[in-house]
Amino acid sequence: MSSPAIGWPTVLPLVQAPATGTSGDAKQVADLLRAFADHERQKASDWRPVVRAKIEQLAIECSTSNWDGYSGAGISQLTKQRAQYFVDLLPVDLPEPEVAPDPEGDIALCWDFGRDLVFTVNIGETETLSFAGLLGRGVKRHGQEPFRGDVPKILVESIREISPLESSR
Amino acid sequence: MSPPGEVAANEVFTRFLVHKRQFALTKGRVLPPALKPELNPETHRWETSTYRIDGLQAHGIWALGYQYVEDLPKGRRIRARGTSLAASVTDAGLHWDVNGEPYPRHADIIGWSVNDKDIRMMAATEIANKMSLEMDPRGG
Repeated sequence: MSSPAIGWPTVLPLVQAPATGTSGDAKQVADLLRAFADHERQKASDWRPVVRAKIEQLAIECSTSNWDGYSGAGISQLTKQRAQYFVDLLPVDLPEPEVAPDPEGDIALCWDFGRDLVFTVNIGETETLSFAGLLGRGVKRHGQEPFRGDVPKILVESIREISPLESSR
Repeated sequence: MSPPGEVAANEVFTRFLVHKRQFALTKGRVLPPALKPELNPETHRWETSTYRIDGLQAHGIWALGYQYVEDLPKGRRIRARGTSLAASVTDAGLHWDVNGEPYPRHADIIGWSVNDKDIRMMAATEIANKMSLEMDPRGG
């Protein structure tokens, strides 16, 4: 008779339990299980694959000019790839952004937490990221940053400033 | 009846939205890129197309969008609209151009920064931030 497969619902309670064994091996196993559970939890809350898929779809829907009826420029394959790359680089503990088409052919990532708490990053074909936002208390922030394989600090800081997750910490 | 030649600060205008990602439905918010301008090849200036809606019933407002913005054979369908006071435009440092084309109630938002995308984004953010979102009553 073959033994039944052990699913995670069976194993996870063990992970929650403190290591009560006295041997070094028992502690090592408990640590490994805890690390694995943390990894799985992080994977489950990783919104980046979802946003990548939204970008993929948006690039199809807005690939031709005049997609908006107001002569908006189409989204190119290069812009799509750059936007997806940018998303891959974002810290996963940031809130998930909205993905929006920009009439200049860019893809915009918008973090909107209600009135006066909005921040947008535009990604296009060039190596420049443009951003603008309202950070509450009448603070406006906008500018441009080079995009060379990492997320400029000012962008992450601005998003964290308006994020409800951040302010509740 | 056509509205007056100048846009009053307390007048209401609307921007028709044709893509579901121009707004966040669950939050009831119009996203800033929906207000970004396009470079008009004829006038060589950045413009955001809007309609002045004072004195119109809801069905009359939607009818403007269906007639002048929507193009179903090309797959362009109105999804929603963002509405605000005209003062939100001038508060963002922009101006109104009442040109009445393609309809007497049409007006463009002009005065956008020519060279700086982030300044255009900032102004669009300020306008969108004050907008209320209304969904197309046809749904879907």
